[in-house]
Amino acid sequence: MKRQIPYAQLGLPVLFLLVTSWYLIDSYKASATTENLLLILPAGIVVLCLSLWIFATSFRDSLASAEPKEEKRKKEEKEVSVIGAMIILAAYIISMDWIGFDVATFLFIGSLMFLQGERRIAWLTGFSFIFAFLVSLFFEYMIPYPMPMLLGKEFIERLI
Amino acid sequence: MIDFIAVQQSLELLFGSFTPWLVVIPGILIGLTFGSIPGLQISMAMAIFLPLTLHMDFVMSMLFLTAIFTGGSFGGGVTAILMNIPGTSSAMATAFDGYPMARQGKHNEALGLALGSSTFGCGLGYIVLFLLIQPISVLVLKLGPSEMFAVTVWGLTLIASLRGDHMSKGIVSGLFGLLLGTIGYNEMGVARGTMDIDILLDGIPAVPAMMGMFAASELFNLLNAKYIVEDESQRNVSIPKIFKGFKQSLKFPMINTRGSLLGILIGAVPGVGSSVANLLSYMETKRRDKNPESYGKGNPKGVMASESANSSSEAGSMATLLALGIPGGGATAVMLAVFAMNNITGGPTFIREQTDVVYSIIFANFGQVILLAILGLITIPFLASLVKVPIRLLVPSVMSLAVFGSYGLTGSMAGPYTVLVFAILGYVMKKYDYSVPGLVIGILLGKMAESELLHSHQISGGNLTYIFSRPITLVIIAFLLFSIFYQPLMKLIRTRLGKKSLHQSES
Repeated sequence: MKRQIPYAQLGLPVLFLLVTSWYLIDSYKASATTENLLLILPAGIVVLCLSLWIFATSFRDSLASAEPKEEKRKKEEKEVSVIGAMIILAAYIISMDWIGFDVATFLFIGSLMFLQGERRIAWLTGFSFIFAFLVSLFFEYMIPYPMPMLLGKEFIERLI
Repeated sequence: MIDFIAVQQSLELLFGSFTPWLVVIPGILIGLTFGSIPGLQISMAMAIFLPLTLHMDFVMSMLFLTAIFTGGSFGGGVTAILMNIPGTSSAMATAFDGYPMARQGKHNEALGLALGSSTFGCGLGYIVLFLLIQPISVLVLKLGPSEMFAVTVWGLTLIASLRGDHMSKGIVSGLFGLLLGTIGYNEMGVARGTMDIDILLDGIPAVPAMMGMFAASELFNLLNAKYIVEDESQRNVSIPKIFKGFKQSLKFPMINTRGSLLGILIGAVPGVGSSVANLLSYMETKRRDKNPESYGKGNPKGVMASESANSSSEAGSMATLLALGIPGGGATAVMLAVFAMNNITGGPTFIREQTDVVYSIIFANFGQVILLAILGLITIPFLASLVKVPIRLLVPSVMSLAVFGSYGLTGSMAGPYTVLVFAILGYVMKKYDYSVPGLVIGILLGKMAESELLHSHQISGGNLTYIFSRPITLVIIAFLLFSIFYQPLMKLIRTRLGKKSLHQSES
């Protein structure tokens, strides 16, 4: 048996520990009154204790048996796709305010379809364009806030 | 308790002309559509169509808005079943078993079950409202901040105990969510955890966080699959199966009745209502079942428990609105606007003096229940066709809809950024068996829990013995402790009994 340290698994209780500790300090600095800390302090202390407990038990249980190679390879393949999708989603959200919701959506749909194995150009461009255009237009008409767009309803109104 | 003269007058008001009914079918269809599109909320639909009520009288306006409410309540369940996206927090528990059913190819039955239980819950809810509107209004008045805080913590505890074997992870998720929910200004005007980012002053946007945690994180999981339902033969849309599900839901009157009654009672509590009611009903049904391990894996009873409770909570929230003039959530807040537009103030005086109007709203909802069943059965086959869409098209489309919806809800890029952060967090949490619903309900209830605790503290002057003078609080705390210790206790008893019988058989 080989002891494998589950870094990813241990990362989550560590994240809870760090975020909660920071939040408790920030709240205390903002105001040290009972009214301000009435809920935050007890809840925060329980989160800290439980996160430490989970960290310790996860570490203790990390005596993992070796996984079959094929299963491990499949899992890794999936993880790569998921990380790729997360990066594409992040790029989509960060870019939509600059290049317009419609164009960003078109690029996002196409890229994610490509990541999932779609290689037919007609589908990659056609579906992405139709979906991005219609959804952007629908929301632009429905939502009472301005949405950055490259084409959008102004384009349609100009065409009409 | 029932004013029969007012009953007669209300029937005349409703059936004297066909005009009030003209808005009901469009209202239900609007609700169904908005409820079925991830990111569009019932309250949003009601707000968008509110200007139309300027041309209607009070009864007709209320009919229109309650029709949107009724359709939307069921619509939220459709996305919960087919995409694991609860359109609203009130459909959260529907996704627990509805989505696994869909993945097993039982999407037709699940949608039929949801529709059956929704109509049952909504119908029973309004019957109870008709019979008990006056006593309910008195009861709601007795709920103070300590009771509200206890209900909030109870809801959170229920979620935590859902994890079963991973209770510590459930509790840590819920409490971490609760802390995240308190970010921003508190009632004393103190801002915490904002990192000097302006959009966080109002707190983390709860619904976009929910969309990220439930929808986007689940979509990451689907990435390498071809369809939601892997087996091609089970991917069909079958009207007989939808009917079968609808009929099956009516074969479990106990689950539906329990869910409906819980929905009415909890739904009447402003703010907490439907978010907690569906969870409470789900937990109670799971607890009473002989096979609680089957929940979360596609047990039809889970869908029925949740849907009956969230649909009947509409009647509960209407009770608070009509009897006290207090909106329980976004949807009833829009209805309150109609009250204001017609110079009407909800409350005991309104119920006493305009009983016929109150009854006509209630009776109209009986009609809406029947119409919901008919329109639901007509529209479900179209909605269920979603399982035929390949994942490579579905994943980017739904993610994109969630992003657009979150922008629509917040009116700024705060929504899409929230979706992104919580999608990643949700995926990692799900992977390592933490409670995603726990974190979400924590965020939803954080602000309210803090505010109610603060009010209790101010009323009691910091004296803890105050809760002993609040019998309802004590009852809720008893339920809360029962929820926490029931599973570990039963486990301990079973282990002890198992050991005993083993010893006996050995000897």
